[in-house]
Amino acid sequence: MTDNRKRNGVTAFLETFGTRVFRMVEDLGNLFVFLLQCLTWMFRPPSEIRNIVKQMEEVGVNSLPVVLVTATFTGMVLALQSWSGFQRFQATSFVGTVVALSITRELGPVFAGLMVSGRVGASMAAELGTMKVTEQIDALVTLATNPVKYLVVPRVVASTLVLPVLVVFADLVGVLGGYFVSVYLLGANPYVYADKTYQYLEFRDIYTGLVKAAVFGFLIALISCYNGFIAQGGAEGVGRATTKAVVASSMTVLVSDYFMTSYMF
Amino acid sequence: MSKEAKVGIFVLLGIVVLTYFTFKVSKLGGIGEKGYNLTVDFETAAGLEPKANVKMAGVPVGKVEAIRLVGNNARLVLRIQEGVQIPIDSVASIQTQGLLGEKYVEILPGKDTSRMLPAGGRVANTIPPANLDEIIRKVSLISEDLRKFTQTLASTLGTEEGRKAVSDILRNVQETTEVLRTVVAGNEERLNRILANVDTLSGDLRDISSANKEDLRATIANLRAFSETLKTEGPGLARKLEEMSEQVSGAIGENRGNIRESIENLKNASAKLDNTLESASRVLARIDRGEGTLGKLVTDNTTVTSLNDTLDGINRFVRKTDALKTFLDYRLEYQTEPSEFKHYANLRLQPSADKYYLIGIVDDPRGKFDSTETITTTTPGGTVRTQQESFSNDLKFTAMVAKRFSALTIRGGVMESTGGVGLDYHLMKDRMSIGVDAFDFARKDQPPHLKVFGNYDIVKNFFITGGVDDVLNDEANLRTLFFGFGIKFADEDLKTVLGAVPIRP
Repeated sequence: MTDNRKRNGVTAFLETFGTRVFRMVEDLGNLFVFLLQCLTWMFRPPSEIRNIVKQMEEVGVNSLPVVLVTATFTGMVLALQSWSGFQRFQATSFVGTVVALSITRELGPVFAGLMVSGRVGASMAAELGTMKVTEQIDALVTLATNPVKYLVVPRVVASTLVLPVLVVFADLVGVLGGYFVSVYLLGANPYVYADKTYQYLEFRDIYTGLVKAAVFGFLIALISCYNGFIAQGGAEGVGRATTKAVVASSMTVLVSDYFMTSYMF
Repeated sequence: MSKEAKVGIFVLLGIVVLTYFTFKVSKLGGIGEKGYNLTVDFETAAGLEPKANVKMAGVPVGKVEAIRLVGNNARLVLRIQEGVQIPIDSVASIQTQGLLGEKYVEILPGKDTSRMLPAGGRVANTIPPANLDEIIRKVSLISEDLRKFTQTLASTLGTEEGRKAVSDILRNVQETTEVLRTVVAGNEERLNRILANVDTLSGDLRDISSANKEDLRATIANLRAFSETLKTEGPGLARKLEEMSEQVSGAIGENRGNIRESIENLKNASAKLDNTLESASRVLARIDRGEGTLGKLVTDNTTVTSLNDTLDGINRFVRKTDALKTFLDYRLEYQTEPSEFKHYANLRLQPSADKYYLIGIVDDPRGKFDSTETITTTTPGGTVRTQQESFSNDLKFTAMVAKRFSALTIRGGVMESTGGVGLDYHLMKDRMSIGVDAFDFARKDQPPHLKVFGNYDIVKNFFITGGVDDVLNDEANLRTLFFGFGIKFADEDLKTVLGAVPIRP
């Protein structure tokens, strides 16, 4: 009797666990299929230029304030922190170098990516999820319009193109934020600071950041759209899809960031 | 504004910023850089990073492009700006901006301005970079000296006394100069006279020398006359010399025989000397080849080795005896039941910190066990047996080997004239120890003798002890509490004590 129950317990556990794993694998497979569809439709005429521009405005122009504020304060806090560290061994003249390298190589792309995945990823998942549960997507199919082509491709293309631009702005204001804090609050020599900012910075540092940003843009849009597309179960389902989209795209940004950095190091 | 316009402005601005960055960055060490390369080797490029500045007369003229290891040296590739010419005999050195700032390469321009280093050339002269640690060490030494000096100065001058002394000195100086002034003022006339005298004296001197000009001229004329005489008399002198030498040769001719004999003798003597030297060299050669005892002694390496071994052995022995420590201790234990005293005297030889040998004498009140049985016959044909048991003092011997493992010492050997083992556990940096002795395993009708005890050193040479003796014995009057004290001496103490004892009465 007890033996039986115990075995049932174990079986149940294995069952739940297995189901979870299986669902994850299935999810991954679906995402991959979705990716392939997206890629195929991306290069099929007619191109959705108007749609792409619309999405570029949404993802790029409208995200700019958020990204700028984030990057400015990141640069400022970075200057403050590295100042307090470098002061301990009289190397405060290198704060500019550290701020510039950190912002362009790492923090600019990552913070821009996280902001976009929070702001735009959520809105994409919610929009497409609502369309899915209200069967508007099915309606599109009946109108002989491919939903991937019409809804997903413009978003993916737009965010891939626009994120590097956002990061360029983030780099600029991040460096300026660090400059502001160091020069006006901590009393660094402005000439030395500016000199050190550019002395050790290489073009490579900037463009690796931009490449990362493009990849982040692609992944964020893809994952968010996918989560919207598989939403089901009314308003609650849409909410779930939104949460999943934001969590998954943020995590993807950070994880892929590591791998890309180690590859382009 | 249309969406398209917004996006257009957005992207355009992005491109502008990126372009700005690109120019800013590539101007300093990116792509398409102008200028030419020079190399320079340093013993160490410690602290120098690529892109560090290259300065000439303090003006930045380029960057360090690369730092490579070539052989044992650091080779720097310097990127020098276009239009900057560096003389071929310039000297490069690694300098530090401030005391702890970043490093840069300083080029001291050479004098040979007619020849300049070509692109790809090498700056041959370098000054090895100063070691900052070394400098700091020296500076701190100097400052220490300086501190001492100023301290001394402060302690001399800073005190009331010192201040007074200084002001005294100043006052003295003032007085002296005052006196001097009055002296000078009062004797102005005399001084003037003295100066006038000096003046006339020098005038006289001049007169004397000018007056004697004639005499000098006469002396020189005499010298000339003498040399002329010598010239005219020369042939006569030569003839006389010739005659003299003829006489000498005549004398030699008369004694020719004698001289020849002398030479002969000399020749014989030198031949003998030759022989002697030859045999000496033969002997030395033999010695050199290692023949004969002396030769063996001199040439055989084993002699040296064995001599070394012997010396080593002596060294080892001396060291060992040096390491050997000796302890003497005496201990008195008072046993409560029955009240008796037990004495111990031990000699401990400790060749190394973890090992010792112990030889000792124990005066044990229960050393000897006697039992007498008396049978008395009572009147109605019965017998009464009475057994009398008694202990009496006896001397016993202890001889043990002990080995220590960190805080634990294991002992074993002869314990109070029977086989025994013991354990000691050391506490409080060896000031205290607790231990167990087990011995006399073959006691008749009784369990082995087990003694549990603790020792505590009150001072270095005096300790107290206490515990339970014969723990396993059921017979109540044999199991006994004991406590006591002891004294002990290490060999340093012994040396002192023995040194104080007069050897002769």
